[in-house]
Amino acid sequence: MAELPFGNDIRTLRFLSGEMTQGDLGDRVGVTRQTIAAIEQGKYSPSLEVAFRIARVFDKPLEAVFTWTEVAG
Amino acid sequence: MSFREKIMWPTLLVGILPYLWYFGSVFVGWIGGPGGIAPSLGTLLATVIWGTIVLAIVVSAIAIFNRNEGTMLPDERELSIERKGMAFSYHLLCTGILAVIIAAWYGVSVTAVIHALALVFVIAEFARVAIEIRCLRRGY
Repeated sequence: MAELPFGNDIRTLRFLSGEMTQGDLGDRVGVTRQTIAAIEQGKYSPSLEVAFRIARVFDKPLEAVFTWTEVAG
Repeated sequence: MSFREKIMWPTLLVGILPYLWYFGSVFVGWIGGPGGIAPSLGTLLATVIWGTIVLAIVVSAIAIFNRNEGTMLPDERELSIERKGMAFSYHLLCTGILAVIIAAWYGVSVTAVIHALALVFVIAEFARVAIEIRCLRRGY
């Protein structure tokens, strides 16, 4: 089965948005600070709803925030 | 530490104490010889009520001290972690109950079967909490 590594640029986008904290982003998205940290570190893949909410906070399309590179295997 | 994790630690550490005392008493009674399983079912019921009251007080205190931390409702990651814990706990519960049924088949006393079933429930519940804490600590 092929690996499906997810990546994201949330940390960079937070920095570019006036150094927004994980807590601030979490409050705006409706999740805890710990969940934002887990998403940033690639430990947790958010639901589509949360992914879209995060992209909307940064006013970016989904693919500008999240990346998905399929590894052949 | 999220609110969910804050209430999971006392659930594990404080909640387990009455059951440790209870099953410790059962064990002491059991090694005391035949028919020595001392605590009655009334004691078990009192243990459950006592444990629930202590936990309710501790969790309420944590909620009061953290009332300014925004929402206390679990988010999707925490709910997903809870489901993971429940799934693990369910398999543990089924295995334990099956073991008790087999023991009962071979003539273990009714009192011992009841204590064993109570122990299986308690182990399954605290395994769920432990799995949740582990997942919350690791991120997922």
